[in-house]
Amino acid sequence: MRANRATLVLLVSAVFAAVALAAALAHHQAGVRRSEVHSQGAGLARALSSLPYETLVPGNGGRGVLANLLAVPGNADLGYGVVVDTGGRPVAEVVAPGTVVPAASLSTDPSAWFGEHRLAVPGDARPIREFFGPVLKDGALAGWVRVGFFEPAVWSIGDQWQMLLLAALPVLVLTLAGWTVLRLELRPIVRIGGEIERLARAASIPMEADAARYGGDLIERLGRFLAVVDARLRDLEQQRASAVTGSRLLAFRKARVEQVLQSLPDPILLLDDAGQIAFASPKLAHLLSSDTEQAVGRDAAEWCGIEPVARLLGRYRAGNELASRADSVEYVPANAPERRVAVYALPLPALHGSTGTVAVFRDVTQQHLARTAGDEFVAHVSHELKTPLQVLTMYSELLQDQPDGDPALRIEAANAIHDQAMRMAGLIGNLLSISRIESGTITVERTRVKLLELLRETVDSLAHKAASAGVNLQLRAGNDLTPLHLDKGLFSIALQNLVGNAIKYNRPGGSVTVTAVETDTAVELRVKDTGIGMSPDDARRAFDKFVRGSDPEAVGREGHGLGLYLARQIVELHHGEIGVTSEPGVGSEFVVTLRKTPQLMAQALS
Amino acid sequence: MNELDSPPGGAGRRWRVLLVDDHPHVLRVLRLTLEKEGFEVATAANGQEALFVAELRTPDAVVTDIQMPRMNGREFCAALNDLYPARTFPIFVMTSMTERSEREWSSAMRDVVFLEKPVSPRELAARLVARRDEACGGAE
Repeated sequence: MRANRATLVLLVSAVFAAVALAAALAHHQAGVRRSEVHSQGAGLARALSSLPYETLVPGNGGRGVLANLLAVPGNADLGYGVVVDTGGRPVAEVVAPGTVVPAASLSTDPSAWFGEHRLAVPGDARPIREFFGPVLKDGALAGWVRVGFFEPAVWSIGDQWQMLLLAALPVLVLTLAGWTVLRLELRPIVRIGGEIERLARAASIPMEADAARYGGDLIERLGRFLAVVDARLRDLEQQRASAVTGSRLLAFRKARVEQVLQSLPDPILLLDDAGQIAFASPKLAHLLSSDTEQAVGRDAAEWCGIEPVARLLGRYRAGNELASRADSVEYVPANAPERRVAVYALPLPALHGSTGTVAVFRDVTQQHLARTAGDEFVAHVSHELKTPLQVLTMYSELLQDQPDGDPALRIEAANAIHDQAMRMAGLIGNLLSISRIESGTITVERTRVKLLELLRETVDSLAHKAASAGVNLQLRAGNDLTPLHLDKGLFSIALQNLVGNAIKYNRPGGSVTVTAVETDTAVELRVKDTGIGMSPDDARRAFDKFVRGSDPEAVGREGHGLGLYLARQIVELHHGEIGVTSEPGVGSEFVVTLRKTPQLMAQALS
Repeated sequence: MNELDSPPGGAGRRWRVLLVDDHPHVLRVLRLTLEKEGFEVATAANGQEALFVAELRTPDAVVTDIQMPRMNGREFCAALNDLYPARTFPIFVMTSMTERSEREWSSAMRDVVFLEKPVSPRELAARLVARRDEACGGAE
């Protein structure tokens, strides 16, 4: 602990105080002593002066009263007691050992017979205070009695050391106590000073390196420190405010982006460099049968329960050479085996040094079905065409090999060839129509058509087919049907398909009834058969392309699965509707409803 | 199984060909063509019928369509193999399907020949004649 000003001051003043006190005490004591001496001396002088001469000055060398003087205790300072005659010559004396009676001239003036004075003793530092009085013999001055006392030296420390100690002790004790208390009181300030320095250092605020100074200095430093801290706080507060705003904005944007991500029709999985999940669309839970709530942070390949997908995702982590290449895989979801999902893994470009991958899950059921359907279609059509071609080939070869053969055979061959050619023509015609309708290149050429005529034509053209199938074909339509504006060519195809089907998917002895009914708002065509019918599932899909139904009975009959599809397309081109009700084993009824739109009912211009 | 059987390829015996197709026209014309070449022809409209006939009399050759109701060509061939594990007669399969899968299974089985439609009856007859001559010549 360094000696500091206060301590120094205290110590010094304590010492001074002690010394001063001691001096004061000593002085006082000396004063007291002096007055003591004075009273003692003056009294003694008077007392002795009043004694008869003979007592004072024993005639025959006997002991005088003076001798008793020294014997009386308490007269330590007594130097001597002497009776002198008027000439100043001692006639009786008692002298302390080692003391010399100094010479003194005394006045004979009665007013000055009693008195005191100070005398210096040669060879002795101490002065003498002498008290004198007249000695009378027979009423006349015979001399004087002189009593000399040593004056106490005020500054004789040697005599006074006890007193000094006595004085100094309380002072020192007080000082010590005061100093201790002061130090105790100042300790917190010292500590504050130290703390300030520490804080300043921590906050990079420059402060002078002296933590142990007190007083105004400290307060000043504290003030400066607080000012700096205040400025800092305000600064920080501003930063905090802008940080809060910034983070709120960020949170909002993040929430927005997540909203967008979650609402994407194709759910995504976001992977980081290490192949761990950073984001998982909730929709994935359905596609992957894995929980998306706890997905974030988990390893993607582990989390994903589907093998081919897990294998794909497992590649996208740092260190894997395939991680920078996009790839895809298809799988069948466990809970939806009729669907197909494609997973496209796309490595992301580096952003602030981190890469990552996004995996997009897309339902490709439609594409898959289309692909499959397309493949099936090609296979189907090829089969459908090759079968008639087979027959054509065979019969034509037959004719070639047997030009003069059996005429019945020749007729049979010709018929077969013709039928098959017609069949192929029908198929190709259907395909072409469908192609044109689907590509949008078809133009609906409406002309004024009497529905009854059209229906009759259709029925007539299929009459022989119905006959050979043993099916009764009937038409019930009145002649009062309003003429409609239809594309005759297309519409007859649709009717052909409907009625043809009714005959085909029928049984010998069954019947097909074609009716047309007009109401205020629409025209209804019905084709009802007593054929093999369809299950509700088949009925639902009856108008889909290439659908032949699941009934082996139906499949056994020749058909392309295009007739109803085409019929629907044509009806819808005319802004109509087509539907079916059916019961397996009982029959089906197809209903075509043509709403009486202005287009349909337009009067002929010609 | 076949008590009425005579050793196949025996000279003088007419070769028995089993035709299987659900199209009556095909059966008709092929029968005419093959009978002209001196084959004895048995026909069946589907696989089950054909198996029945094949069991009665071992054929020397089988010609079958693929697309048939109830039992398709592939199933039929497999059933034939079960019936005749040590089959020596060839099976000619007529198909309009050109998918690889069709070729695969036909080439995986022994002595199954793939014929793509439309099949020329002349060609088929020629191939059967060749097989017959080969077999008969070998047994000599």
